[in-house]
Amino acid sequence: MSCVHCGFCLPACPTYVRLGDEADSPRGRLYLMRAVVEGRLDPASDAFQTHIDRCLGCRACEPVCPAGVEYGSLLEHAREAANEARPAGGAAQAILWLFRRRKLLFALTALGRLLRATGIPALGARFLPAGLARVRLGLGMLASTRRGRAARKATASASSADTEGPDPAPGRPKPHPLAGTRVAVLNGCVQAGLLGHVNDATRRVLRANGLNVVDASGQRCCGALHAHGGDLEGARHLARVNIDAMLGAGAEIIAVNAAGCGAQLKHYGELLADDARYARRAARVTDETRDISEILAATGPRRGAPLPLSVTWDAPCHLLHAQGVSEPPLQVLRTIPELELNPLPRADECCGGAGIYGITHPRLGGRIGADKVEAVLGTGASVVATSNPGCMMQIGGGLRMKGARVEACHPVTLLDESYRAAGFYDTPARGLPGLRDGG
Amino acid sequence: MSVEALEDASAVRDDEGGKEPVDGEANPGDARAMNGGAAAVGRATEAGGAPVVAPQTVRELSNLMARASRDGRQVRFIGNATSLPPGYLDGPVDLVVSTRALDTVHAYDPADLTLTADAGVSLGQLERVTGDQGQWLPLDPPARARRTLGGVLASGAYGPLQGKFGTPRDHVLGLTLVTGDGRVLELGGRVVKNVAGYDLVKLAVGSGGRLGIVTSATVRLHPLPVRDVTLLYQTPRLALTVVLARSLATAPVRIPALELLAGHGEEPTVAVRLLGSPEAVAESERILNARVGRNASRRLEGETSVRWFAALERFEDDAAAVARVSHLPSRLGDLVEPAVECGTVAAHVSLGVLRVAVSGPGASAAVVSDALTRLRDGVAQAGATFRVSRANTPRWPAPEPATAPGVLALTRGIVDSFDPAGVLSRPAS
Amino acid sequence: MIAKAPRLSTGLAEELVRIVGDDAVITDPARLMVYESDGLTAYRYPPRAVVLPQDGDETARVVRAITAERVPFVARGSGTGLSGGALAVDGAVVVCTARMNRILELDLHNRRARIQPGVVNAHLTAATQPHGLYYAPDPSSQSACSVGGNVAENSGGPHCLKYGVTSRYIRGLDVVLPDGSRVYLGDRGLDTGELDLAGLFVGSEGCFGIAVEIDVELLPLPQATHTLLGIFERLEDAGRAVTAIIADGLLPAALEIIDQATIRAVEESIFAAGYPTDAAAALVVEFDGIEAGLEAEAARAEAACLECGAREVRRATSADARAALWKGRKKAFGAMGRIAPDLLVQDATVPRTRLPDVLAEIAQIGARYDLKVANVFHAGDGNLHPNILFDRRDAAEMERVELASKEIMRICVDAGGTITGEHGVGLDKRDYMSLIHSDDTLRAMESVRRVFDPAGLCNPGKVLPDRIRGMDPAGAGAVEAESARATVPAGAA
Repeated sequence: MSCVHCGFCLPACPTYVRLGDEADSPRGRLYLMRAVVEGRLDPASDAFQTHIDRCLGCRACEPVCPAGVEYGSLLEHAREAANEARPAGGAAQAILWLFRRRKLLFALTALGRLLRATGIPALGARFLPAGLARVRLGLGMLASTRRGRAARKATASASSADTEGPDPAPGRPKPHPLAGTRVAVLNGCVQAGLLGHVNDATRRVLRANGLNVVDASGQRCCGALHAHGGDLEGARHLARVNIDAMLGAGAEIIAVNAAGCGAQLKHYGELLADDARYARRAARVTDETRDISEILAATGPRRGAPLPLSVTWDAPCHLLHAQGVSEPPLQVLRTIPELELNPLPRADECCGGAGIYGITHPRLGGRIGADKVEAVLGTGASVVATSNPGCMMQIGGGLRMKGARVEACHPVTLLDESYRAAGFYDTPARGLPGLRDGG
Repeated sequence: MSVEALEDASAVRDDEGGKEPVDGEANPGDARAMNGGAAAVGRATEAGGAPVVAPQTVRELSNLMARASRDGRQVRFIGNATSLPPGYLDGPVDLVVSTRALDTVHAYDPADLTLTADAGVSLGQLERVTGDQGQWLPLDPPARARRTLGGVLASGAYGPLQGKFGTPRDHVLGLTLVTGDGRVLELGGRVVKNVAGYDLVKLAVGSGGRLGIVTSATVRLHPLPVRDVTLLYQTPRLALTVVLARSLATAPVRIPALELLAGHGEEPTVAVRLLGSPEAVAESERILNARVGRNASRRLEGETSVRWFAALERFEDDAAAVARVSHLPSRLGDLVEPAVECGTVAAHVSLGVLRVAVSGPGASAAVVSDALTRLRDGVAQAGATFRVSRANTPRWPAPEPATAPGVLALTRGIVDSFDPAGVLSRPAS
Repeated sequence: MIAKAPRLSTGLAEELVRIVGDDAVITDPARLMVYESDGLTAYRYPPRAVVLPQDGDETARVVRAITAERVPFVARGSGTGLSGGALAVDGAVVVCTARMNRILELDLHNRRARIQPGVVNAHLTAATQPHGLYYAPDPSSQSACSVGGNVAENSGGPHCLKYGVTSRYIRGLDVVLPDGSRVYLGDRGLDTGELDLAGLFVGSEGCFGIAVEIDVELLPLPQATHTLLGIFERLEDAGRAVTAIIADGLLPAALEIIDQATIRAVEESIFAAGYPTDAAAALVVEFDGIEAGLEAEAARAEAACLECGAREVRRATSADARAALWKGRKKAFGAMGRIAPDLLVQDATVPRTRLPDVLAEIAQIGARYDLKVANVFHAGDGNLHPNILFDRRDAAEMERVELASKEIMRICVDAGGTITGEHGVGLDKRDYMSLIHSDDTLRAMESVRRVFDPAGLCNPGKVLPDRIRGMDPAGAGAVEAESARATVPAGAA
């Protein structure tokens, strides 16, 4: 670890900015880690447990570090040490356990969809007493996973004369370097369970841009939550399963629409570097994993129908800081005709979702989330786009708690709506079967 | 002028660059005995006829101060006695120390843009030395040319150019201070960036001789500007002039000097001095004219621009008294109106400082004192600070607001540590 | 070496919690560990406690409570200082300004802002930029360092060549003195005829009290900026170019040199900026101001560089292109951190004209002690940063670093320079103070410090050598200073 204690990471850290305690800063946490390594500090101590646990894992400290400290991976090891010294109990452990059990998770998310359909969560988030903040946020998050209506309304309101975009050949994908490439889409667990419409939109949009979407069955949770929580063994197990599924399906590239999962897949190479059987294939998955926005930006996506909607973009930490992807999502949004992109102040700061942070640290997570919601409302946008289920739910839930009419959505669903309105999905394009699937 | 005798006693005729022999009244023998060898060069009529001595070396000065401190003799310092604070020489004064014999430029390295000179060197002399190298000390306090470097540093006096270049504290890299008890302190250094220890240079500059006497200093020079332009905007009504001045002050251009002049039947004028490359000056001019929606009434360039501002340096020369009034720059309008009732006004617009010159020579003490009091009460309503910086009258109103007790306590402590016997000033009440 | 801090008395701990709340008082020794160093990690002094007040009022009550118990305290902002100025020597309580990070008032009409000390330097500029204004001092750590810390250190930065250092921009300070009383230093118009106590306070390295509200002056944003990068075959040529540019009557906003060792470090790191690695030096020259005049000035500077033997001069006017030219300079420290385990960042100033000789001597010293020395510095100000690369696990090398460091200081002083241009004396350079100041001057500094802090409880152990502290014959203060020092645990120094 080469931290030189310069302190450049301090203002980048959402917990430090709010708490002002250096033990809640990247530099301070690294110092505690070093103290454990040097034997000056017991990993079971309250200090180590509390401050390592309180990290959002947003990795906003990495791009500002002049010494190039790989904080994210040091944090995972620190969490592993913390867990070994004092096994985590309660909610956090239960959730991780759950995410390893596919069928149970499936059943629970199905239950969640049923509950969501009743409309109760939306009301609860808004009107339950303030004392039940955790329940309110949970219900708000659930409610926010529902497919939004703003985009559909916007295309409906656009005058039909405008539907012919300035695309030189509307309705036909342009030739580009990725045309015909075999791409597997990572379904994810939360995404598959609660945000199925995002996965569907992802597939449709990829096909509309001329990629060959292959089915990678047998895939599971990416393991990000396990790794972040310090359960590295659990994460490795899931990684092996997913590598088999993706490469087994003959995928040339892997598209991920959830930033946290994408960061994890791009981390497989390192995670399994010491695994003789999987190291090479893990490295390949790392190399070939792309965020959906990276793929679309590289294709220079087709222009669809106008979507007269004011949108603001909040960069997920695991896209911006962990994957270093900053421009592609904005490039994609800018290709949608008539979409007005309002910049979000501090878009690079964590929303406080951070996996299960809102559940494990309701007060601090709530504070960070409330700041983000304020910033979103300040832009005047009617939709906030972000590309991580945790962020979507955190921001969407926060908005619902405030009773705001602003929707949180995935940017690919906006592009999808623009394509739908342009009629790209009405008749199967030549050589691109199965455009009408999902839904 | 009541300081005439002093001027004579310590005359350094700047214009001739040399010194005239002084036909003083002192008995050199007495003074020599008292001050460790320094010859008295005259007597000050104003300081109760105290002998004036002009030490030749820092050591001599140090011995003199050590002895005065031991004997409890009240000592005051003068350079060219151009702009002494009111009352500085009042009360029992045993000895006046002049810096006239400390008059050497020690080191001038144009490539380093630094110069080290003795306290008795006048700014006029410095101008000639540095001008030959295309450089200058952009400091234009009242009566600039005649003032000594030591006097400017002791008083902290500045002029219109502070708008870009700051006040004396911003020009000094280091100085030698002989304290009230004769210690010789080398403070600061000769380099432009220096944070080695507490900044006692800032303390010495503007201390009004209460801590000791500056015997030499190193200052930071600047290249002379290629283009020097003065724009004069005149309007018939004072209120409009204030609006125009404020509008210029908030323009997105850094203006080196921005002055408002008003009072006594003159047409109110805003003067802008622009310095720099021809292209930058022309563009600044365009931006400023566009901002106020008109061209300047007069435009001076080169020598005439320099001369116009040099004339402004003489603003205080004939005044019976000068008061300084300050507030936030945006409150300029609230101060100018009461000020022009009492005298002629020259305001540093972007700083929010007004100089008010009361009457001409020959005004009676009662008239002056009355005008100053009216001014003080007038601006007090606006919450401004008020202070008399020069007065040709034995009585002048006290500053407003009075120094805060906390500041006073710190000031006393600091003054005591430099002048433990209290020979340089009477304790503030 | 790690000192042990004495425990906080229960009474004081309870009092502090009463004032600021229990989430703002840290007493767990494990948590205090992260405060044992600032930006300078060569020393470790764990504090007795850390307190995080919200505003000036809380700070005053906290300081009063601490010093009433005769316990020392030290203010800390972002802890980015490089001279150990925020270290809790003598078991001091750290009063941290991190929660005091609000901009209290933005007065656009008067181009002033009133801020709390914990406001990050770059955040102040970010907040004022939309209004066409900015805060001029820009230390290299501006993205993290607090303005309160800048006030304590009188921070500079690459652009202080033209714009001056922090003290130029401080209009007034609301200060909590070590006895817990509050006093406003400075004035609105520099015109009260009082001693310049604000000017004295700026750069006092936290030894006179804590500034809890700061009135700063803002400048209008320059209309445009032009940047040049000169590539030189010889370091001396770059030094001569600096002199030639100044001699031509130009006053650039910045004049920065990085030498070959630094260029190579940067180019080998992930920050590669496209500087040629066979070049001996790169000179960054920047002009800002009215757009119309900049082209001509840049052309003159380019000519000066070429005349002094530059093999290539690159020009940039767009923000992106300028960022590219600056990249090698700005990333220099981080890049060096990646090629050596440890880095000693030195800081000294010499008269600009002495730069070539001094650089040559520094190279000789490096060679003599078999150490890698990389230079990156504010050439326009003569402010050198010779950085010694080493590995602290090598005891013999550590010793050579120490000796070389002293020699470098000595030659800078001999050249008419000073021991620190912008990082401060802090704990690290106390013993160098006698190289440039007489005992009389040091004692005068100590006397002034005592006016603010008679009990010797405010940031003890900093700036002045131990033999000066407590030498004042003034009586009571000296005794108290003695007793304060008696609490230093063995091996603390």
